[in-house]
Amino acid sequence: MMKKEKHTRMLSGAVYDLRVALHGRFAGKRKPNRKFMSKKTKDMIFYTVLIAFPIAQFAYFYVAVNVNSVLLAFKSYDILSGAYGFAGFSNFINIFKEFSGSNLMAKTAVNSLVAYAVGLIAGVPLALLFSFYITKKFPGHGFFKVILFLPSIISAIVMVVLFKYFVDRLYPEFMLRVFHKTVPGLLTDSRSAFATVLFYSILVGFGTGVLVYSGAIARIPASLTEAAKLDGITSLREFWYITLPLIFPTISTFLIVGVAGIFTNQLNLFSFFSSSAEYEVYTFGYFLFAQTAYAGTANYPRLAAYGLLFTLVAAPLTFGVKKLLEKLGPEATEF
Amino acid sequence: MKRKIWKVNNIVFVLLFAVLLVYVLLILLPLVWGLYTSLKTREGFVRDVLWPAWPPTFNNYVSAFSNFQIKVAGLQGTKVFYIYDMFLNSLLYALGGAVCSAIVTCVTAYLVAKFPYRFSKIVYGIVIVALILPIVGALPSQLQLTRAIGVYDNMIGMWIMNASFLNIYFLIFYATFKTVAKDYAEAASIDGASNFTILTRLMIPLVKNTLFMIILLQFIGLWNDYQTPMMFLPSAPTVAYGMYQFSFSALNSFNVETIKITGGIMMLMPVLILFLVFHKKLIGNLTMGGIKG
Amino acid sequence: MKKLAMILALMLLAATAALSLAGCGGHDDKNTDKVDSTRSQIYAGIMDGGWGDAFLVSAKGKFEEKYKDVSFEDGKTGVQVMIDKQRTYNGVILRESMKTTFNEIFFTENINYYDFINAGVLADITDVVTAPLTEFGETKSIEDKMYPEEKEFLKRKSDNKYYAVPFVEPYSGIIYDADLFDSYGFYLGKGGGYVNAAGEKSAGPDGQTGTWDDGFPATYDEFFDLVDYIDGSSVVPIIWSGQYPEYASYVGTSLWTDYEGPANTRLNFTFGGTADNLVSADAAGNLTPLGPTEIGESNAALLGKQAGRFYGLDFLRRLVLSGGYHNLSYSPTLSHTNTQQEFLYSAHMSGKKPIAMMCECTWWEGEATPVFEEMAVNDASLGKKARNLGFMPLPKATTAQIGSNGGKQTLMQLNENAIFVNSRTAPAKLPLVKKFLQFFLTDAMMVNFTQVTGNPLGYNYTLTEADQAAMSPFGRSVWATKMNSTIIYTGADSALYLNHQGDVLNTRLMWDAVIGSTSYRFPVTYYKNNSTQPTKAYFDGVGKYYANIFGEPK
Repeated sequence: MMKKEKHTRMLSGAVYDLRVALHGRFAGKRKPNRKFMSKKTKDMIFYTVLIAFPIAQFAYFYVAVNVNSVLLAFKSYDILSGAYGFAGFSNFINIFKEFSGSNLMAKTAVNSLVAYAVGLIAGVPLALLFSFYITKKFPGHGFFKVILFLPSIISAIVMVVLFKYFVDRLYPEFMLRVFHKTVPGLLTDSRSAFATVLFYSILVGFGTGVLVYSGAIARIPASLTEAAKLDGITSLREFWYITLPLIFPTISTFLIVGVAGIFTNQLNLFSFFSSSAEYEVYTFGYFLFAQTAYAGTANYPRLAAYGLLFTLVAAPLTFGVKKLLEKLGPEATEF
Repeated sequence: MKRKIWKVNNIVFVLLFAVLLVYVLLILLPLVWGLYTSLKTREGFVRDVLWPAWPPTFNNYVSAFSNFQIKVAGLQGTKVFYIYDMFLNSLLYALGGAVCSAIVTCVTAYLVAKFPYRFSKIVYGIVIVALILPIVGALPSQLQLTRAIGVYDNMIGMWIMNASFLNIYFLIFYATFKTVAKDYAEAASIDGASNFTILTRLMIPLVKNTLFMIILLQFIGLWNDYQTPMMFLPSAPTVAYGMYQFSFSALNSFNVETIKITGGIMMLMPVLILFLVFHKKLIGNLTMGGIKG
Repeated sequence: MKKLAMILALMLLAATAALSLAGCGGHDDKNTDKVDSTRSQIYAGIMDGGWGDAFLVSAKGKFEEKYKDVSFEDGKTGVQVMIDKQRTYNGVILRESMKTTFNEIFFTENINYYDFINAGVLADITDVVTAPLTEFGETKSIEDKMYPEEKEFLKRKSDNKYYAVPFVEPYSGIIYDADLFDSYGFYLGKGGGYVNAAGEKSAGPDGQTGTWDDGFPATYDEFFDLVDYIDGSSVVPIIWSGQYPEYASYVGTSLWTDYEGPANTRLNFTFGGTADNLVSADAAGNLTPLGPTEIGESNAALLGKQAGRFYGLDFLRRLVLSGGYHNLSYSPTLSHTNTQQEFLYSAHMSGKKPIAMMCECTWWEGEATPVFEEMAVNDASLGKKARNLGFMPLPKATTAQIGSNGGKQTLMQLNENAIFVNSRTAPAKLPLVKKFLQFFLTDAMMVNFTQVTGNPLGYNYTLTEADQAAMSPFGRSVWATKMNSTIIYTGADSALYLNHQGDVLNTRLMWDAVIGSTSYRFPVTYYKNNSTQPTKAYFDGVGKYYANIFGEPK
């Protein structure tokens, strides 16, 4: 709260200074040809000139890219001539074949859903509790905040290199020396590999969540919590009845945007394994990226078709979750 | 009653404290282990993965540093990028991209907030939809289209590609500009200041803290991202991409566990030290962003 | 803005400070030779891989010495060979960079020969390939030393010209620690049981005693009995690279070609002739022969059904199910060089379980040179020349196979290696560059190459006992392998092969498979995660992959 007040004071001070400065400086520089062009026209020109680039950028890098992606999904690529031809729905038919006959796609789908669910069930609540801990200024809150945010500052590829050797080389050695048990590394054993990678992703993923949540918790009016405390309320009840409902809009934003993660979350797999992850740990996000990175131009139409299909699932799902959360709303969290 | 509250509060606190402590250990142990492993010889590593070895050796740093390079084969022959070339590329890529993106977002938000044209409403709507609507797998198409206009493998092209206003910061700027009293701008305008002057002399200074925070955030993100440079900027490798290459390279001279770990520590240390020194400023700024978001 | 600038400046400062503290070691650039303008230069490019550049440094010294007083260009006397070692000097990347590079001669691998010719990057070297090497005191030409298949492939039909010649000849298989085999007694005894090196050993896979393969498992069954026995002796039977599982697949490749023999193996490149061993398999592992089948363009996919492939896969599956592998064999952090290091250190470090065998290829010893050197610092008996390591003779799939193909193994020459001259070499320099090529392929220099690298070149030549004495024990065992094997050259000028060279050879030798509709590349990974699947599953998958690239057989 302190910080915000200070910030606001600084802001208004700056505005005042500027106003004085503007009056002093521009009063004498009044332009004689003011009537030459009306303010409306000038505004229009100014607006058009400045918004031209952002809109052009948007038109190309968003609209054109996505339209082209849709078109690409209906094309085929001829390796010999290097030309694209119309392929109708064949890319989609192939994808359905891939899905129906393959345990890879089944595994990938399960992994992607598990990753989303675990993030939802474990990641979000923990991030909320951590944020609560920090904003309540419990002992060590400053230190924990720094450590929680640390992985967001460090490049994923750097952290992964250290973590990878740690869990796959140190862990078996540790188990052998301390518990006299011979076990494979956590990434070596494909049964534990996915859990490990998922665990890691959640471990390093708290930073943004904690920052945003603790920002939201800090914004709760102090009078509310003070009043509750006078009524004799435990911190657990405070968290449940006051904090959660009040920051629910922030949480629901995270949850809504997170739905697409089912199809885009790479779980750092590319940093762990480059393009050669075992099928046992695949997610959709990794599949799409690794394929695009290594499979070559001829595969672009197929991958674009995948993208289109996933979007067709993800978009309604996102809006569904949005509707659902709006319905459940903060009231639902109260008993 | 009071006793019970006290008890519950303490249990909650102790539990959370324990979980956080485990968290800290999980984050720090690999770093500590990596640090002392980087001071081991190959033999020391094979002999004992677990404990530090004595005496420590710094040879791994010499090898990692001298081998941290990328060779890019092109029509002009093979070009070698050493660590400082990659640092420079990273700086250009991250700073340029961050500044372009933040300024475009800021200016667009200003225009949309201050000029009540119908088009402004459309732009605002576009941002909201784009933020919520998930589009998956447009990477191949993006590669094609960036190649088509020469943005691909071009540093300035990368800045342009990053100069999008479709991000959450647009909303932060928008809210800020909406709340700034219209009077000031109008006062300045009556005093003869042009729209451009109002924007650059009045409005941008007003949001300079937010702008700075967003540039910093974008900078960190771009600096750490190795996948986009890998896909779009093959002839100007950045350090993050260099680290990816280093991590997976099969080149004999540094395909030793200790040297790979050393490479990680070498990349980690400067960032870690800077973060520990500046974390108050950084997290403070970021929290303010969080408040507004 | 100022704050950002300050933080960035500090960030850079701290980074550079940390880095300059860390290493002022300069760059690992071996090519520090300065151009000597009084001599003529030959620019040689080699791939920075397992071979290293020691062999070329050695050849360079001898060549420079031989011609130190000869003038090849006006105003210059003597020759200087400049060596440029780059990881990227192979495959398609090299084809492209040859259009601009200054290097005049290349020693490299992963070459799609006709693709390179069509790109116009190779110089015609027919004259020096076919001329007798009289200048070097020999009567034979380079062509005379080549295998018939090599000549057929490399001499282009349309103009009867050579644009490249073979280079090194690596094989894949199992490396074993002979010291360990001796001290623990892991050799098979004549009357059953196990003996050490001095004991009376069994006849081995060729079925004859007194030969190079005595005491080694003659069949898969014997091999896996040995694995169990080793396991029971507190020794780890075998290790391979978890990061590159193709090193395990390579063993399957050698077992496949060894089963098929030379004629059937060559079919995979020529796509013309009779295939004898095509089979279909059932889940229990029973094979039904399809009978001798004439292979042509229309039914090339049938080659995916060679019985040798089934047996190679069966071996890999049994290897996985036996559990006799080192627990790092599936670790994504264990690269091939890390594997070599574990293997080499294991038997000589207290508290470690020794490792008896390793899946690798014959080039591994060069890659492991730094490990040998580091180990020899404290104990000279652990150096490369001192340690008894060997390339194991291949066990046979069935007892009926013992002594097949005249007791000779059949091995594939890996990696499509080649030596060639850049077509952009200045005409005035061309004779000198070609002379270096000839010199490199004289008998004396071929022996020298083998002594330095421990690997043979892809030519017919001989090493005397004295020549071999200068080599490491492992190098000698590789040479013994060459002498006791028929080597299959992978090049052929059949249209089908030329059009599918990448499909057939790219993913580490023919273990691509499509099972269900999922692609698999590594049998050992598949069987680890699908341990209940029979050998047939992957075998049929290979057949399906072949049908996908060559079309369903008609």
